[in-house]
Amino acid sequence: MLLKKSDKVIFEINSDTKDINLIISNIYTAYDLGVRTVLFYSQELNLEDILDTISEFKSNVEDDVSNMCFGISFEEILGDTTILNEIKFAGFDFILIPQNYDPSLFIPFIQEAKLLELQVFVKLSVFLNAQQVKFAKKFLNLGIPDELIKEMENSSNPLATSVKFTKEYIDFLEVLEIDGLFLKIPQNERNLPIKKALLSNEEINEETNIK
Amino acid sequence: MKFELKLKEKFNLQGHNLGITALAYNEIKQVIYSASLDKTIKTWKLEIDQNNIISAISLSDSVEAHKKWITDLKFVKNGQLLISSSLDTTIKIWETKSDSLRSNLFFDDHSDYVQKILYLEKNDRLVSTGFEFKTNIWDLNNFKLSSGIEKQEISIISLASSEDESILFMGSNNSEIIVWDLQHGQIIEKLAGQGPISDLKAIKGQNVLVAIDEYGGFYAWNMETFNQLFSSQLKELLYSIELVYVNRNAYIIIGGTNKMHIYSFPIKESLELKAHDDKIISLLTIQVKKNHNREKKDYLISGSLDKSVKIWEITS
Repeated sequence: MLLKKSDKVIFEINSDTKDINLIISNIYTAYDLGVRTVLFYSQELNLEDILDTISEFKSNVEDDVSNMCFGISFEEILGDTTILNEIKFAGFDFILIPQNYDPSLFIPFIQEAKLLELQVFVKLSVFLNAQQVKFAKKFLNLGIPDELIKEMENSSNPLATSVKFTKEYIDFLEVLEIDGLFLKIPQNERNLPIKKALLSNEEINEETNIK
Repeated sequence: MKFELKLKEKFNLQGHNLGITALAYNEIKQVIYSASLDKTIKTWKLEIDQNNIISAISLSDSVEAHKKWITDLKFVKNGQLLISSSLDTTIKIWETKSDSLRSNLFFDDHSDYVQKILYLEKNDRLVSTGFEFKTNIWDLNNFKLSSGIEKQEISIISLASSEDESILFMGSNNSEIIVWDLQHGQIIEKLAGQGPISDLKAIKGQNVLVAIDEYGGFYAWNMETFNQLFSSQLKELLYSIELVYVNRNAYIIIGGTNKMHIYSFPIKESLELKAHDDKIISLLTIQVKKNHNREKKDYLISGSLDKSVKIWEITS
């Protein structure tokens, strides 16, 4: 099971809006629709507004809505792990973080989250070809190793090479005892070869956007 | 030649939620446009004093322009239209008449990320290059696809043209520069770098092409003979290149992981400057002037993945 409190459907709420009432309204709408897990995502690294909102919401609301499972999505891993304390203190249950190949950054971040009893889910991209990896390396701080690029460039089947790297990375994540994965294939989500690649037996949660 | 270019940071524009990927300047409206991974194009209004000095800059507009990251931005038709490209596979055409950008037209021939666009002013054509190994040439007289370079074996990530717009230089992801004859539609030459060719430019009046790669390579070629004139390893990943002309001298500015490297031309002397906290993806030189002034003043704009746009005063 991906999330202990999940009822299959995860609601995504864009927390870039500063309208607290809109965020609260979205939470209640999700609850009325039977959703018990809400994921907040934001393009801003400054999470203070949403942390304050959820903290206040959880401490002031006494009905079942406040018992919903709340998570927050990161765009990138930060060197400073103090944000995790704030996330836990605000009442969040899980974090969704992108893959990162820099162990000096990634491992302490996950270990700190686990120590705080935050569930950890990892967004993991299966790259289709070398150009996607190069593009990700340029624009995202994922610590992508040069070996991955070189191997994919020299491979007659880059997707198979990428799947091989992905499986190795999943083994690494298993050792870290993460709680679940969100697999992605840039520009080709519909052809996600999970079963074919034997990457996971997990069901992928249906996602619903509320903006 | 005496090295006489100086850069001084004047403004640090904050407002984007994610990194800056492209910049454009409208001289008539005196506004800078910045495009970002946060999918927005922001408009920054300049206030220019009697001495052609930028005295203030304010954010005047922000448009969620695309569904995914914006990759490039170019002015066409003397600044009447702004064109943006994106990972959402579209190229959008924006009217710049009003204070707020409006788009009613887009090109959607690409089936994968659109990585770069280039405007060929003399021919009124737009070149766009996509992740599906395809380069398109659009006729901006009728806004229709004019021709395409399909079944390319490599992915093109940077574009430049010769001054007379007869030759297209296409920098590839696998370290080659394809020299393409636009009139006859064929490859003339292939030039080699050592890594993904992140940016390239033709130096005005010099018949010289300069290029950089993401593994730190900096190169110059003669555009007639294709002889390599210069090659250097900067020991830093390189992402953007721009040319500055001061007192009839050309200077080459290169944006790296956080520094700008400045070279005089012919390439001899250089200096470097810590400019940002992350990769410098976009560089643009602009000339500003108060409405009735004759003289113009040069500035350099830099856009970085640290989310900031910086304005640098150029002095000599």
